[in-house]
Amino acid sequence: MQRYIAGRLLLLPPTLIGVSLIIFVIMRLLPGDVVEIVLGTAQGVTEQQKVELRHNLGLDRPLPVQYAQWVGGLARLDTGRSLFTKAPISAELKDRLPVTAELALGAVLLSTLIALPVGIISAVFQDRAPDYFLRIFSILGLALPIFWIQSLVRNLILPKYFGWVPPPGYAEPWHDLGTNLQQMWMPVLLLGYVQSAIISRLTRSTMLDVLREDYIRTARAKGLRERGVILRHATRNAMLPVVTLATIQLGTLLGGAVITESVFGLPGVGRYVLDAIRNRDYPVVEAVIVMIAMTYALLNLVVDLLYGWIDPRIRLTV
Amino acid sequence: MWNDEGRQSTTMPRRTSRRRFLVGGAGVTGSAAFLFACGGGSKNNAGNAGAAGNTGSAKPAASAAGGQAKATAAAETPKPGGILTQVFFTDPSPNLDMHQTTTYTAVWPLSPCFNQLVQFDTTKPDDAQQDIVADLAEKWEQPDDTSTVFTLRKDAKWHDGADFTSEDVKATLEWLKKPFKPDRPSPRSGTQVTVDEVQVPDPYTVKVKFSRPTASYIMNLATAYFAMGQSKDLHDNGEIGANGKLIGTGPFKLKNYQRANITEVEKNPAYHIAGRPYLDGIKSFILPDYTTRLTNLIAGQYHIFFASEFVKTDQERVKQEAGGKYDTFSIPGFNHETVFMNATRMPYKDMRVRQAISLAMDRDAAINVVKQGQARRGAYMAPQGVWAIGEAELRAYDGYDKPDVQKAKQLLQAAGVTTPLDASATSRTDFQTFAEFVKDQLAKIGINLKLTLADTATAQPVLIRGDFDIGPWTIGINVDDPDATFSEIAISKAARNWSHVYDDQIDQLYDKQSATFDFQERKKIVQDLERRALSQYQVAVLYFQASNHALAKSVRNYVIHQSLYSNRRMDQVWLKT
Repeated sequence: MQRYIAGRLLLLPPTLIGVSLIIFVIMRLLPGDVVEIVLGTAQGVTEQQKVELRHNLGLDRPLPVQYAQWVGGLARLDTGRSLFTKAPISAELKDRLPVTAELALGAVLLSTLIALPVGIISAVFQDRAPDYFLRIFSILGLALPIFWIQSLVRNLILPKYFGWVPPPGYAEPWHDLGTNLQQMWMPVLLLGYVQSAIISRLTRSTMLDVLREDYIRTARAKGLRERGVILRHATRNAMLPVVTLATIQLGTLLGGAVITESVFGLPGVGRYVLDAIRNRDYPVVEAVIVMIAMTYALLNLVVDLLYGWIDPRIRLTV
Repeated sequence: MWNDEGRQSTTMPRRTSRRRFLVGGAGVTGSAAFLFACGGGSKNNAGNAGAAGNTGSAKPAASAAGGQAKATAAAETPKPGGILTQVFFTDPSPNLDMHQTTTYTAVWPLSPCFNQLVQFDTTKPDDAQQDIVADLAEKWEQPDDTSTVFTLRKDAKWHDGADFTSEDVKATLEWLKKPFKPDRPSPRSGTQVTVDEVQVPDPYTVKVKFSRPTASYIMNLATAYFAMGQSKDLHDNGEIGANGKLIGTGPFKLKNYQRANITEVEKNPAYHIAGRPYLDGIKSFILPDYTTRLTNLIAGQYHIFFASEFVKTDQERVKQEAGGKYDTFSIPGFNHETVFMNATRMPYKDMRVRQAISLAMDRDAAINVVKQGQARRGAYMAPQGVWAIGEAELRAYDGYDKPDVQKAKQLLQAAGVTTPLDASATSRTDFQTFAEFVKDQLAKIGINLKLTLADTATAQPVLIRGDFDIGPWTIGINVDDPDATFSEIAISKAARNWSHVYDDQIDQLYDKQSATFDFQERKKIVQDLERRALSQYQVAVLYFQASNHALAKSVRNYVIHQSLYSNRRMDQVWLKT
């Protein structure tokens, strides 16, 4: 097991280098640059100023040099500074990650809590009323665009029919838990619902496969209660793909749920990287992408380890 | 006990397992958290902007600018206390230093922390030259045409307790001309181009010497962009607000800034005007989504609201749905929507083609359709301002009265243009409505636009490089000033002369008016300048758009100005509860 973990960790650096190279190139290929954004075309801005600023930001150096300097900084755990705001990127991420983490973890947890029972019940009552109802519930979550659902609930249904909107801004939970919960429950619920749609469909599908297996028939034949057959035998065997999917969703959300953060005004990683892309703020985009890649790699490792725990038949070898 | 086959079981009832207990406990906790979270929501938010009784709220009086006046009625005594709230779609950008920024989203939240040397009278919305009054400079004089002497007030202090002196003014003006750190931009360095030297003969006197007479200098200093920074701060840190520490002389101090979330300022108890400010603080929220901002406004979460998307129909919605908590205003502004025509390319080099394009534009339709009637015909200078030529005269220029498609086609023919003519156009995604309108209008005369919409970082460089035929764009000017206006798009060295139409007479008239102090004489020259620029069909200006605002009826002593960059200090504002 330790060799397996060590082997997976050794794969991390080349993965990150590959990702960093790709994102470095893509950002440089995008038209427009941060100097134009910062200086704009206000009265008195000269070409000389732009040249000077470009030089001082290091943007006139050859691309391989820029890349090497950046990667060298990352190796020293120095993510550098934003070209646009000059603020240290690590300080910004430190402020924004907790917001995104709260949203992501809450949404994934809630989506799993919703999706598992929905998928299981749907499978158990296949082609009967509960199955139809729950399938509609899941398909709506898949079909309706997330920005539409969020804007509809946040800006129409709750204010108009319940006379309620969340308090403005974002309050950190350790400073003001009550306000934080008022601000976060809706985005977590709506995002969780949309995420649960995918998981519930997968759960239903894998449960249906598992329920047809011989060992399930054997378990029933032995006289085990149906509840025990479903929960203790079938569900556990259907969990592997669900765990994978939930982990992928968590990784995706930790990269920032841009639409949710924009609609609800949450100062998370998603908005940070979106603004950076708009401003051609290369170091920010690159740092966040590398962070996301690292998160995915680590989460994949966790999932592989979870596999062994869920299903002891799986042996992990390098 | 019944089993799953519906038979009664004789076994003992199962005890609650640990798993069952944990599951049940999680369910109870989750329900409690949900109920807790739903409690005390914003049915009637604390600090609700519209909480004040709104009886007897005076109808806004029309000013000469068509705006509003909301001065305190004689019987009302300003009451201290309260937190004013407002919202923006983005952060102060790129940072907390207004000197480096080009957007009102920085000016509005940060201005309360600063003073300028001079300011526009807060009660007069027109931001005219004659409305400039004292701020940190008690008085100013011009001993000759090429110098101005400011006498500073002696009781102003920085937020860190240090005295405000002439060295601070010198440092600020020198920084504006050329920032002390090379990687700090100064978008308004052009306003200091004629400043030769800043002398400080004593701690409360500043003498600015110019290379030539500069009539607009004082006008520029009155806008909020020209906040005074501390000399020590500027020299040590290279900018204002480094590391989140904002040092100003203003009525408020920075309390909290969380990027993408909120800018919060609190009362400065040591402000140099006794009894001010009245407010305890100001909260400026940051929320990108317009619909969410509008919903929050209707729920009463903000006292002051402005957004470029805040159109007439949304203003009506606020009036109907916000329970009478707000007044809404449409204030004539200084932003205009304009079509650039790239004269470095054929056939736009031919003035007849540019003239034809101007003739094709139905300006009345543009005002009614694109701006829902909340705009006004104009050219270079703001039509509601003191410099512009009259509308009757403006209408004499092709296109500025009614469109004439027939004449436009004849002009194209005379210029040797064969239609249909394909043309490339670039604009910003947020200018889409206007750009699509231009496309529609040009189609009538046989010019087919291939319109590309992109974000600022992509679209703006295209126009700067001259990689386009037609460029629909919004131009914003800080203040009703000829220097600011013509140096933006008209003169040869203009930062945004994207049409690349150069004219010696325009340049000469610009230099002449810039050095003329007498208002009437200068106005004559400025109007000649505007006529000359119009006659060259450098650009086709469609309209000057209004800026739309909502103001809670509880706000007192706040007049919305025509410029987005003035009257933002808020020290005179108070809340009636």
